[in-house]
Amino acid sequence: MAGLEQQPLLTDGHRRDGRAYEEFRNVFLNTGVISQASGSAYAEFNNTKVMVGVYGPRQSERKVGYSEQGRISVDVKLATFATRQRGVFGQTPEERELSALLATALEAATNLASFPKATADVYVLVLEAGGAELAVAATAAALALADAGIEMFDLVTACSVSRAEGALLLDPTTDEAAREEAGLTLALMPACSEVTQLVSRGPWSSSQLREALELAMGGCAQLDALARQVLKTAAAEAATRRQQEAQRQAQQA
Amino acid sequence: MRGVCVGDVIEPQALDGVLRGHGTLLRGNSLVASRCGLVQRWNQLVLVDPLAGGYVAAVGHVVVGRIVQVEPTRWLVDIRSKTLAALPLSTAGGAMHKAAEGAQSSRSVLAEGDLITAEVQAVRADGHIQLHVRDAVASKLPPGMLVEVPAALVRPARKHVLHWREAGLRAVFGCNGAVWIGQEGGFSSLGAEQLRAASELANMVQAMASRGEMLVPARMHMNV
Repeated sequence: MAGLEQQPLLTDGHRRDGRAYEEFRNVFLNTGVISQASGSAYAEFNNTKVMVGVYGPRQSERKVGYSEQGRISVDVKLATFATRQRGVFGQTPEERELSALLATALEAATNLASFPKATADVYVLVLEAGGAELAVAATAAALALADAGIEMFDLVTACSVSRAEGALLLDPTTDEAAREEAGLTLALMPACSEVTQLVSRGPWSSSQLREALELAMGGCAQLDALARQVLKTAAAEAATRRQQEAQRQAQQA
Repeated sequence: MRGVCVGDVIEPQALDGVLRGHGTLLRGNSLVASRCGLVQRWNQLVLVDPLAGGYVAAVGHVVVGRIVQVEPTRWLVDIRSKTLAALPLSTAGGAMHKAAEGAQSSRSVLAEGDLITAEVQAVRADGHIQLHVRDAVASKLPPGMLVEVPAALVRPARKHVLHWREAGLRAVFGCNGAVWIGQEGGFSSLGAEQLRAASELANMVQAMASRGEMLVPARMHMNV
């Protein structure tokens, strides 16, 4: 183990997995993966695999009390087999923190006034934690909310940046994040350029921070293009189905 | 028809000549979609017809719902909407006077888990849905099958009940996408023949829904 840690993360402009510094892992996004849920999404960034199910909006429990605005309740669960060290049963402080961070990232983008007295439950299951879980979960959760037909101001995409060995690394893996000097996670509504969540770790100088934020914003825009494409495909399929149905009805009449 | 997703610009210049409909919002001068769906235009009105999302109640809809809670003055009914709907004791016909006087408990008329068919009487701005039935006793549906389909596939119509007299079956197509299939009149159990017919009808409804076909009770009559 000690021998491994002495190996550098970066060798002649490449990372251990062969990526350039400002390159994403292989990204796969999909919606409609849980048939029982109102909306769902699956995101895979190489070894980070996240499944999100959105249920509702449904009437809030009596004990939460009346509110004009809707609520989003987020529950993040890391599968016991998600991390290198086997996880424990029950909610850990880490999961609780992830849930709270994710809730902030999503609430700002959701039109809560469109479902008064109701709660949308967002269940996030991290199947494999390979780095940047918060960012991947935020992207997937926003996709699932959109898939559930919940009114939103814009999609949310998020990505992480780590500073390690003097370089800024986009979308860090667990290894890179473990050896970072500083890092940040940015969640953004790309179409209207509004930040919904920014988590920063470690010391940053202001010029480095600006550079890192610009890198993260660029990454978010890239993810946004992909997320939109996924949702658009579903919309286009629905449009074709509806046209076919209209033709069928015209034939019957 | 154009498909859009959350945050897409529908109309770059929307300050005049465009009426903002459901599923859209203004960002600066432009009209953007707030839900994923298909853009529809009716003269100046621009709206997004959503692909997903729960049932949105409207006055006059016939719905099939399940009682989830019994309160002293009302029943709370799950009609697959964002909030539970309320069926007040007062709208529930003659049997209810007895209940109100305490001679009979409202739970003996409708208890948790019972399926009912009702009409949406009012929808308030805060999302409160009020239901109406002519007779609480008669609104209760006997044991049968419940098929759940997307709510968009059942449009409000004059006829929501399909009578299949040869098989002695009845089907209620709720605007909320809940389709109940069961016996015509009476609460006795179904015979083997009836069960087969009922499951055939249920399969048909499910097959049509999976193809995205509209469920029109008036037209279904010819199919069975």
